[in-house]
Amino acid sequence: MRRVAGSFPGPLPRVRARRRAAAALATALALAGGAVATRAEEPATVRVLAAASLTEVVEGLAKRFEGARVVPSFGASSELARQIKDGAPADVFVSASPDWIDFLREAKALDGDAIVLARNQLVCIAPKGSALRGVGDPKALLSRLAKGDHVAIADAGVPAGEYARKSLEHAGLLAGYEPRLVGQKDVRAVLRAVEQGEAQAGFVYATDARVGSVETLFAFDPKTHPPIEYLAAALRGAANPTDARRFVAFLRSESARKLLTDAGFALP
Amino acid sequence: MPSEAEWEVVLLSVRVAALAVAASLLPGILLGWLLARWQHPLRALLQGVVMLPLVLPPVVTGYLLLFLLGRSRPLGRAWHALTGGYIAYTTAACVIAAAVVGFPLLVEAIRLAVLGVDRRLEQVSRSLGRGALDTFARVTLPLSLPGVLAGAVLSYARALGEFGATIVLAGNVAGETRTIPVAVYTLLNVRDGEAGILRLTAVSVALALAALLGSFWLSARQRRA
Amino acid sequence: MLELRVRHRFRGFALDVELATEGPVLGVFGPSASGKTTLLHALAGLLRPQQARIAMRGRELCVRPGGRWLPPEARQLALVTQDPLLFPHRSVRGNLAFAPGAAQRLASEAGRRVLEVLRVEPLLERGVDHLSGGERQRVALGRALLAGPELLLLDEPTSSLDAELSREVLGLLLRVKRELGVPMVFITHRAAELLALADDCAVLDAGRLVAQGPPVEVLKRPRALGVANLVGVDNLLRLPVLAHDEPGGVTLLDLGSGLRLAAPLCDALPGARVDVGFYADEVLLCLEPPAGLSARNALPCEVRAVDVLGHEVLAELRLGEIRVRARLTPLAARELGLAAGTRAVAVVKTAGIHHLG
Repeated sequence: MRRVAGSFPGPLPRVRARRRAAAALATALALAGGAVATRAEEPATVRVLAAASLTEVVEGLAKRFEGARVVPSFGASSELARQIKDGAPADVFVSASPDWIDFLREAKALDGDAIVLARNQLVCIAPKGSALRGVGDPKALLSRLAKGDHVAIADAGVPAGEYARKSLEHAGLLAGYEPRLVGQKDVRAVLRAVEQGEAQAGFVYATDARVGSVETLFAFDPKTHPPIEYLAAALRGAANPTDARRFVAFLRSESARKLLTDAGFALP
Repeated sequence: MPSEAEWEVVLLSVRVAALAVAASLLPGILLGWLLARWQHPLRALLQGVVMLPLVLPPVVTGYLLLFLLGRSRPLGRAWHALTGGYIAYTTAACVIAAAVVGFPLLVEAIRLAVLGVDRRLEQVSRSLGRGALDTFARVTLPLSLPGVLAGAVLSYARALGEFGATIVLAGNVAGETRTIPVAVYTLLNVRDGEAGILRLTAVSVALALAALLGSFWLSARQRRA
Repeated sequence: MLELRVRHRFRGFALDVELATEGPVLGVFGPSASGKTTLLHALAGLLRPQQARIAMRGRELCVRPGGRWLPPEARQLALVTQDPLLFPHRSVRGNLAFAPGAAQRLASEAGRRVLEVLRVEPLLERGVDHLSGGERQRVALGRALLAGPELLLLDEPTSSLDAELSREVLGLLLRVKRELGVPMVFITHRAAELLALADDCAVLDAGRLVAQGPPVEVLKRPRALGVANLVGVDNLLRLPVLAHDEPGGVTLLDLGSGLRLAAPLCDALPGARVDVGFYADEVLLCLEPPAGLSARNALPCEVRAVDVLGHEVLAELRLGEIRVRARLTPLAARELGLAAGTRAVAVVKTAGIHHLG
């Protein structure tokens, strides 16, 4: 199971309580970070909060980064951004959409500028061996769905979900899809739901379709939704600003670009 | 004032929790009685299994349920044969998830209530000519009723707040599986969701508090009985 | 009426009893932990004995191992426990009408008789919480009787009551016996109840039946130490055997300081210790050694203490190295001028001395 930033909510998440806990944690970590910095033998740590669709790439980059230990966490960009704003300890944020970078910029949580590091494509997937094979666009898919069929989509606010919703809305199909849509917490949860066969179709990125054992039905027309851009930025609350900025720059390096293209991302 | 969508969420939560408790009551009474009275080495194992949802992370419980009830599973197929649909992502899934996580609380309360009934009263009842089932209905159950109700209310409160298993088994479907906790979680992903979160949180706390107080009051009545 | 053979072993206790009785009232008597309640529970069906055969009027209730075992509700018995155990969630009427058929019986003529004998009519609509101890016991009795049992079982019905209430309940049980004619098996550790109520008496000690017969006989000759204690035998002695006089029908026991006690003939080996007991009533006191007396024991003693208890006097004597009690009237004590230090002669009939197994 992919690791997610913060704790996976079991009981009802309470915003105020989390803020307090996060602040306490941040203080403790800052103190610990200070203690760590004074001991030359301990490696510095860079905490990276990244969109779920970048899981394999960021983990690969974490291994290659020198001079500090990279600790990544993955989740929906929206959830991660909110956690950062509430004070979760983090050094770098990599988002699947500009919206959440803007969100943090307005909250004055960014350290320096954000950089664009990759682009992606939105596709529709189905379980292996699905009878829906051959469906070529969202309209056709809607007409082929049987009663009781489910279509998994990332929750509203999660970039993958937003892109898909915008595209469906553009085609005037969103209302028709609503009764069939099942929200999932991030794009990888959508992938799992389709892999398990509980959902008959799902909307994920092309890069996600490659890592899962699913069939790709069709790709969404990029003109029907805002461009899918991945941005990264160092964070103001970083315990380790130097290494944080270094890592952000590393995301544009040759080895990073190779990992991204190998995984199926497009470069800016 | 909560919006219409928010009221829909609250009503769904209340309905799901009520259905969960209603569905759990009979098996809960049976198991509670069994765990209180049955002398057998296997009893400990049974108690362990019943208590599992209490100690497992709710998400794990959710995945176990998905494993047992998914489309490709025998139970899932049986469900399909009976109802024509599948369990995941439906209100039924919410009810099942809520019932499973609340079950240990219900059974434990009932078990304690039955233990609190003097066995000698049951013996006297038997010697007066009432059989085992009759004795249960006329003596054991009435005397343990406050405890049974306390357990029901407690598991109701738990069902209202259930998230982890629900999100895995039932996903997030507006009107069908978007209970209060799921709705709040959804709002976290939306940029200006704070106000909605606060409103739903307030309703949630009020409902849970009322349920908990009710449960304590009933437990006290059971102890006095 | 009742044939029972029960063998049951648990946690270091072994019950092994076989008896048959025509009743109609059987009293089960014995010290605590002698197995009386276990026996009653086996009879009631609340226990599955390891080995048993229980039959009531020829109808088999329990044959173990392997045979039929009727559950309690099928045995047509009713149990009244020491603690009345009324159902707290029901009123008095609800308790009385609890058994199958009891509601109809309650309304019938027979039911009214029961209510009358037990005097529970005025309590009918009351809740159970505020009844006195005696009222609770009467309701429990009524509840059992209205179940229409063939046999009524009572486990120490008066143990938890004070003397006055005990007498009252005993009186009620007598009325139940005489006027309602219900056979009973009851457990008690009070000799007086046994004498008043029981037609037949079974004495248990340490899980075994040590005596059975009419209460008067059983009590007069307690055959076990535990029972003797219970029954109130005042003088319980453990003495070594000196010699036997077979033609004379006497065994001589050593009291120490050269004194010997003539007890009835027994077969213990000389040198072995035996338990004997005799009531304080069986001890006479003389100031002079008597002559021509049939009693074989006329033993010099010294009075250690004289206790006046209401209308009787209990004198504590020292016989050899042994302490013995004698019961006298205050008149006798006065006439003889008994006081601590008085030297006298204690006379005990051999026939009044019982061997305790």
